[in-house]
Amino acid sequence: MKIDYTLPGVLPEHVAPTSPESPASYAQTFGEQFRRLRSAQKSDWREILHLDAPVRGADALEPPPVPHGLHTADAASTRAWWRTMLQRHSADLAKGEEERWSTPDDDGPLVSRMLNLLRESQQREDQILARTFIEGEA
Amino acid sequence: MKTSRDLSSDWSLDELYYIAERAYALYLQGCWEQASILFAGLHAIAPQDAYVQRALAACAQARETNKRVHNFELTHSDNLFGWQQSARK
Repeated sequence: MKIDYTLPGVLPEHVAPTSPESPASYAQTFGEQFRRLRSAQKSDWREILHLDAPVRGADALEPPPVPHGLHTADAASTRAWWRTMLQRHSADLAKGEEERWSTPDDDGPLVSRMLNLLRESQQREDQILARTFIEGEA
Repeated sequence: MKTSRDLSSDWSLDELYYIAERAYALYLQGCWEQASILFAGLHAIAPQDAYVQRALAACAQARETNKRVHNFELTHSDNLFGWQQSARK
């Protein structure tokens, strides 16, 4: 006795019968897969650390856009400008530190760290210039 | 009372540009920690600035790569040559 499991009107979609793979094609497929696996093996430490891909580093970031009407000056004036600017903002920071950074989500320490770093950088620059001047005089 | 959102009014465009320029120079020299500090300060001043946002992301990526190499060097500093030999096998 033959049982028909399909419901009338609800028939499965016709699927083309797949031809059984011949041993040769199976071997070829396996060989390809094996080669692919072998080639996927990472043999270089740069690959393992993902350093073989070009690092989005120096060329990933362009220089900052120059604002219109930027005031440019010679080196001495620029140094003076930096000094004045740092003094002004440091004084602002010191004066209004308690009230300015009292909000819970404030970014005050970030600006303070930035100013500290710029100040240190400025001091180092001054030292280098002073040393160059002294050595030039000698 | 001033909050962090009012910071940008205290800074001129020239000032922000010169700080960004210095941060960019540090970034090119590979001083990503210092560049990040400057860009983070700029971000606090001008949180909507697209360039500063991109710069912070680039610094974070560069620092991450550097950290990976540093960890690798720590792990394999004793037997770097041997590890490379076994990796080639």
